[in-house]
Amino acid sequence: MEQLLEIKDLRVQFKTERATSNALNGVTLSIGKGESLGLVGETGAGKTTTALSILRLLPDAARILDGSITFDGQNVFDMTGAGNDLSSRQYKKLLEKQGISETEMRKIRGNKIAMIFQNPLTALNPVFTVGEQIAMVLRVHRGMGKREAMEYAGKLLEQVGIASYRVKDYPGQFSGGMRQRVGIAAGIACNPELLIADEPTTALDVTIQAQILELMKQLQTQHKTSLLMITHNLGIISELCQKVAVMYGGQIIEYGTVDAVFRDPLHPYTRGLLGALPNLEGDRERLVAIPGKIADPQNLPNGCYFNPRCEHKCAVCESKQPEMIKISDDHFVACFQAKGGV
Amino acid sequence: MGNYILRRIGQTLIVLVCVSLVAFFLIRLAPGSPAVLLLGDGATDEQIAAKEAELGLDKPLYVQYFRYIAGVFRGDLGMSTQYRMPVSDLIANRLPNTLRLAFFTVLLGLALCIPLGIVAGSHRGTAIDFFAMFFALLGQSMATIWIAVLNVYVFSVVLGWLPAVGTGTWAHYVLPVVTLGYPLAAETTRIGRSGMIDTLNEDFITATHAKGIRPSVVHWKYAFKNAVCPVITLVGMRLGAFLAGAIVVESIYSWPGIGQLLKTSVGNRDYQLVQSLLLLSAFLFALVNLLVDIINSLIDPRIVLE
Amino acid sequence: MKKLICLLLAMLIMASMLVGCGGNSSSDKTDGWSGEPAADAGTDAKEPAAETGGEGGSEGGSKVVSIAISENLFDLDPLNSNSMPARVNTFNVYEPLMEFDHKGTSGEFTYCLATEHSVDDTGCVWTFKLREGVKFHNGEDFNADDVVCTFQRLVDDPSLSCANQFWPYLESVEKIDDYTVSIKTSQPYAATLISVCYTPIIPNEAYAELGADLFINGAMYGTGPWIFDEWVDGAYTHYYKNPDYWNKENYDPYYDEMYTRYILESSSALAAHLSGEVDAYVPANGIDTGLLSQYEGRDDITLTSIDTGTFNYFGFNCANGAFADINCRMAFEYALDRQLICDTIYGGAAKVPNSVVMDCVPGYDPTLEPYEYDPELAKEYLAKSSYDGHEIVLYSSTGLNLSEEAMLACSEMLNAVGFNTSVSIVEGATFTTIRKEGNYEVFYINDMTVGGDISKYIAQKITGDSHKHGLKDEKLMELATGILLTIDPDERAEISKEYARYTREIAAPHSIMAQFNCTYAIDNDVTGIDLWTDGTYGFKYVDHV
Repeated sequence: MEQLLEIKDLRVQFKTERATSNALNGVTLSIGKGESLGLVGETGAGKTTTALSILRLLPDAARILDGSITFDGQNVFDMTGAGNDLSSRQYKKLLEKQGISETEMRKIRGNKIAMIFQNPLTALNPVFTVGEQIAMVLRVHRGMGKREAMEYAGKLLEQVGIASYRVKDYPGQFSGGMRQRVGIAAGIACNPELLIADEPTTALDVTIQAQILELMKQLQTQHKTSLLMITHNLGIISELCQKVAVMYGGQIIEYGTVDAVFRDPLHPYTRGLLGALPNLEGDRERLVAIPGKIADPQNLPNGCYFNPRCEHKCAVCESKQPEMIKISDDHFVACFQAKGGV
Repeated sequence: MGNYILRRIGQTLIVLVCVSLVAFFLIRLAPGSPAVLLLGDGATDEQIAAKEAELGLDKPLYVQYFRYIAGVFRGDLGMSTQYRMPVSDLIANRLPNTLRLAFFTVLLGLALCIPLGIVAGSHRGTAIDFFAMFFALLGQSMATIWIAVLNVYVFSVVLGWLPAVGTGTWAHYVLPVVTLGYPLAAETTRIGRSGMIDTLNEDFITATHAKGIRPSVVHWKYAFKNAVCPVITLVGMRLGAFLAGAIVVESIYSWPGIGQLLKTSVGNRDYQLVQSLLLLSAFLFALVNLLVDIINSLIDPRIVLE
Repeated sequence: MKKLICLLLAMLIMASMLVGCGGNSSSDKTDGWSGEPAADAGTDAKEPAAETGGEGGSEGGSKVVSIAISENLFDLDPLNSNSMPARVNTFNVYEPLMEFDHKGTSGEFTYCLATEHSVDDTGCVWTFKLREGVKFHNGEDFNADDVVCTFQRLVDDPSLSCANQFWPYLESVEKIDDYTVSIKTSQPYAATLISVCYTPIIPNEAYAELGADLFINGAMYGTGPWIFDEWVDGAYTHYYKNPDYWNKENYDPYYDEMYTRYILESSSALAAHLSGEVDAYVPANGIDTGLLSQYEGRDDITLTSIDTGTFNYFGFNCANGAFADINCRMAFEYALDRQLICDTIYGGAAKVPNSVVMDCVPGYDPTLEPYEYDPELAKEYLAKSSYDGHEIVLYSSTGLNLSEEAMLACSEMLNAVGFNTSVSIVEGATFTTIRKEGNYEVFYINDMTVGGDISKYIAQKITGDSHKHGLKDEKLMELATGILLTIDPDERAEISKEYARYTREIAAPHSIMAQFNCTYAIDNDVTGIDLWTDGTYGFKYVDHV
């Protein structure tokens, strides 16, 4: 199956006066048409950075050091071998040269690739109506007139379960859950090929979560949209996604179908994550926590980034970075200690 | 909204009463009787006493005050002692000049600060940002009187492009409006810029970019609206001050506005005129404040008037 | 709802602006701004002013002259003109029975609305024959009724400034026939003719109808060569030529319109003159010496300097305080180096007169010895005096040019001989009050020899004691009264000389500091502006070369 989205060996660094942060250290993943991939990891693992990279919306402090992203055959960018010693003007030039122009990119944003943001309370502009914030996408990408776009926005609101007459209301008049629905409505407005959902339910309570997920499942079935679901909630992944990629320290450390990975997690970290889930049936055992702190992107350890917290580590783990090895067609892992590998 | 306006009107009335009391007593504290100043050197004591009786100044203070207030309610602001004309006529002659100066100053201020603030805020660190900040610093550092005199010297005396004094043609407006408008634009540019910078850091701006909206539209339409309220508030404050009469500009450019009128009437102890002018200024200020609050509430729906 | 409010607000704002624009159509006149650049400012190029259009806006062939003065006009009432702008305004439009050269009782008098006059032996009844065939601007005929109306108004309301400044002894006025009137004073007032020159004649029919509202509403009907058009408060007064002026043969101005512009800020007035917006700058007390250099290189503008009768003086409180003692006063006189102050602080634009009877008024005695600067002598007098060393405050007004500098200098000089002085420069109105109430020991202020005569000064400040000097010297009062009431000019001059000498001898109630030279700037091609030696001026006869 031809991949809709391909990310190859993406390395992104954030440089501020205070510190340099290696946010992404070689991310490789791909999503096929109609496929939904869950990107899981703790806060600070680099998930949002990945999402913004796809849209080429990284903040000014970020530098892409290496890697490429292709979408639907188009080269979003190709910074292979760029390195981190370019001046800012050289960097900008290279970015545009080795990829599509900004104008082309804008045609993709909100249209072919849409993003739903994490915090519904801050992701909507408080001084514009929700209708306007949905309609703007329609006007830009579908060439609709003002009135037409507003009407259509109303219909989109109905689709996500909000009364259409509320197009004229402001975000402040909605609860968190409803605001997220508005975000979703704006996201699906132009029927995107790829929907990136960045922790869409993290800021919401559990009952609302369930509703949102229901909604997304519905939409997925209806429109056959590819989905990149970013979350740290494994339950959501198992509900919504076919594939899962586990991220740690700016790298993908385990990847495969949800079935394969969840049934037989190979990486100590993945195991730790799954082990950390409370067991609703059977004996109430103590929750197993993963000892130690998450890898600090400003101060990454030598060798495998997880090694300071790993109970299975050995000498090589401290000095060399593990490569991604194929366990089966549906299961890949980057670990020296993984069974069935090396 | 209607209730709110009514409540504001009520508040304004209270403020006006307080202002009238302060104005009334304050001007009477300054030494010097209007009768003496009016009649000049040659007047005898009897003539002065007679004049004071004519002006009602021999009555006890509270009587004078109530007479004045009663007059205000009837629309009669009293007679000016220096001009021997009704105060309302004097003010009516001069107020339009002050209003027009204030109006065009605010127009210039906004016309400059909005684009500069938006562009500087959205292109932080670039040459245009530097230019905008330099422009702002210069405007805030230069004293109004210095700008005024400099303008007159350069543009009227040396270059002869614009008239130095008076009012009348559009050319007469240029220098006074620039003298007042430039410092106004300078300080509002800073505020606009920092408002833009804060706004552009918000998540919803990234979200807007993520929808494929052109950066210029993101800045000028979607970010601007969030940043503009403090600018409006500041402009409102300054407008209130201008309506009270920009004395420096009115003096240098011989602009017959109410600022000059207040200055001379205080100097000549023209009680009725001073009281009425202060009352008028307070009223205009309150009106402008109300306007600003209404405008802000229309721009930003989070501002709820209640 | 919100859109509606927005719309209403916008309409409200627009409406108020439009009201402003429409209401004052007069301010749309360009009065002097022709949009043309100034004649080369500061260069040597000689361009005749007529070619540059610098003489105010010449629209559609109407010839306009603009003159800038430095104070505001408040009151249009011709009989209440107690400021320079008011006098200028009044005498453009109205005319008195006689006119003179402002050189006092021995100056040259000419007839204006009168054709002859006589005074009886008592010196109290003045009879005037009036000119026939003169009309007021509203078409009314000029005759004795108008003169009677004018003077009756002064009799009825002595608080009018014309009355209280010029007619201390006015008793009654009588119509003899249609073209003859007689004016009666209670005392033989020597300056009566001067006062006549300062009394404009108002039209009795118009006045009978509207009273003083006539002037408040700007219905200014005089007989003069200029017809009052409008007054814009704080901006200007506009006149246009009277085509039916009775004296057209002798005075038919080149200009069709005149503006007197009120520009309070001296640098702005200067700028307006240099840029061509006004054709002359005639401020009260002359142009600041510091600003005169701006006129360098302008060959199209003439600077005229006049030694005037504008003077600054110290007023002593002779009843209470340190200066009740003559020794203190003498010490004060000798302690001050007046010449130094005139040269340095007043930049040479002032000179030291020998007394209040100055060189521009009748009775001037050049042989009277000048004020001397002798600090040693001052110390001697101070030692003899009863001065106890308490702090003496030198009061002056912020409205008086360079008052602070002058007072600080004087304070230094006085302290150097043993006085303990401090300086207090207060706001004009406060100063007037302090002075009126006699709440001072010494003050410093200015005055003018209005009309070129000291009678107004004597009547108000010496005999009238409006500043509470409290001096009870019989001889001085006798001399002062003599100056007021002696008709014969030679006798009067003698009395004046004696007064000057005596007031120096007792150093009371005033000590004169400086007499000013005033400089005015007028475009070369503008003539006819009267700059009189008493420090006043008139624009009635303005004309073109």
